[in-house]
Amino acid sequence: MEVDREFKIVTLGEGRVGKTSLAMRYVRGQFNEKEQSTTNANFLEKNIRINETSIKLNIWDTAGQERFRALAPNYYREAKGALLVYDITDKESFWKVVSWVEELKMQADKDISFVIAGNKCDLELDRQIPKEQAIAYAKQIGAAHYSTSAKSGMGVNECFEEIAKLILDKESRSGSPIRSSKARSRVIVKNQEEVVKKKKSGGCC
Amino acid sequence: MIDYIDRPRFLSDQTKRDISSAQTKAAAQIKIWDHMLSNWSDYSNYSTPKYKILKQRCRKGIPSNVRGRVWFMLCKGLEVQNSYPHHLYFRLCNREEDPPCMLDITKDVSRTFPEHFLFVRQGGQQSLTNILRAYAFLDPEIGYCQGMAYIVGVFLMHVDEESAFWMLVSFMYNYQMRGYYMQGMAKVYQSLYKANYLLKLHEPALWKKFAKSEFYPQIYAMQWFMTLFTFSFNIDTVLRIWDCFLLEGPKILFRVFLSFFKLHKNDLINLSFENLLAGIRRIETSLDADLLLRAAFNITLSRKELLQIDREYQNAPNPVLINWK
Repeated sequence: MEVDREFKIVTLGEGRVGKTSLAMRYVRGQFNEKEQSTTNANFLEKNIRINETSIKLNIWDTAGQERFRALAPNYYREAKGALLVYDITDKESFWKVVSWVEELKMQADKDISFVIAGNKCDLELDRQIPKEQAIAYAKQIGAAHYSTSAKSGMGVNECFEEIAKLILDKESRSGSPIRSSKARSRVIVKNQEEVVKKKKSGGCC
Repeated sequence: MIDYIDRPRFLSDQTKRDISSAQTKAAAQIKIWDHMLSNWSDYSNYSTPKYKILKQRCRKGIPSNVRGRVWFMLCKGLEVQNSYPHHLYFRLCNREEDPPCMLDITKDVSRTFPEHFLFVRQGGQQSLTNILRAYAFLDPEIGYCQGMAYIVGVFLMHVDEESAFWMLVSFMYNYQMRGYYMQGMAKVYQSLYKANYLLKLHEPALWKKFAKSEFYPQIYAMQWFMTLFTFSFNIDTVLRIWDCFLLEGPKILFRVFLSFFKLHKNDLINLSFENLLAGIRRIETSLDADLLLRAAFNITLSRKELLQIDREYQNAPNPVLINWK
């Protein structure tokens, strides 16, 4: 298949919010109730078509635990889009999204597009983050918000495709296609402490 | 099937002979290991002449029904335990407050070996929690790091809870694994650097191909080192690697790393970047432990060579950004 564009996307978020599950659901259409914890970023790809443009999404799915945070710049560097995932049943995980946004704004590509996914919507009864609050926050930072469930599949395609659309939009507004042929980019091991020093996670409200 | 059983489900003569010879063989093996366990100091010391025998036997694979006991001895579990105050594990378990990383622990416990019979049950998960929680108290600098649960999980498949705890302590301190899990994970970077370097030396064609695609060990091998292959390889292979690791130390990890590519370079060399990771993951699940390890032992890898690379890593002008090329 002829590919017009290639976009690098990264998934970020607290541990156990369902980053791997969302990526797997999107790319493979599968859901594994017993997904194991991630200690290595995974790389997945998917070809999609938006309007007339065929796009290859290179998705880097990262490990969530705080200690791995220092590695994240390797993955979000040169990324055109970020899927920020929180678990609607876990308040803390939402604040983690907030701190990711802060970090990305400072350190990532300035054109990076965000989409926020409130995952595990199948557990609506245990919800801890009011949907309105999350949507208001997303609006404030100019991101789209999706309610997703990797388990049921709800919102999964939509949130990834939204990222692709946002990136395309930005390209057309800026006139020239954002250079993305090397979207997968190189990943360089970087000393963690440096990053940690630069930014302690930003709280909010 | 036809050879196994006669029509009304009686074992064929051949099968009976096979079973009984397998049993005899297993019994003989256990006898050998029992003997070594009861004369442990003759074998376990690097400077004793019988050390070589132990090494050869570990490399051949420790029989599963003595593996737990042997591992505990290899880790010097008892010595480690005795170097701490009496009943320390019990006391740590009974602390009322939780360590700061407790949430990270609970998040990981139910998704560690979720398909192993020990860990689908409450009991196994509870033991895993207890050990990780106690360890976080003992070593607050590390607390808990993703990856550790897999290590403890494998220990728990072989020994009781308290022994597994002391094996973890030994694993961290005696085998110097703390650097993999500490804030900053410095040892992970060091290992990845070393792996990349060795790949260049031993498999230059493949390395060149990887380098051209900017496909570096941190993309695929971080979990190899952080979980000692547990997360990635099939369990038979993992146990065989651990049999050697616990006696010989970390060198075996690099041997395995290299033999993995030595055996499978032809499957990988023509893949595009996009398919490389999937290719590696595919190979991981179908590894043949015997083949992999035999090739691993045949690789010439001197301690001196490894130390040299370590020095180079330390002396790199800017250790923050590694120049991979």
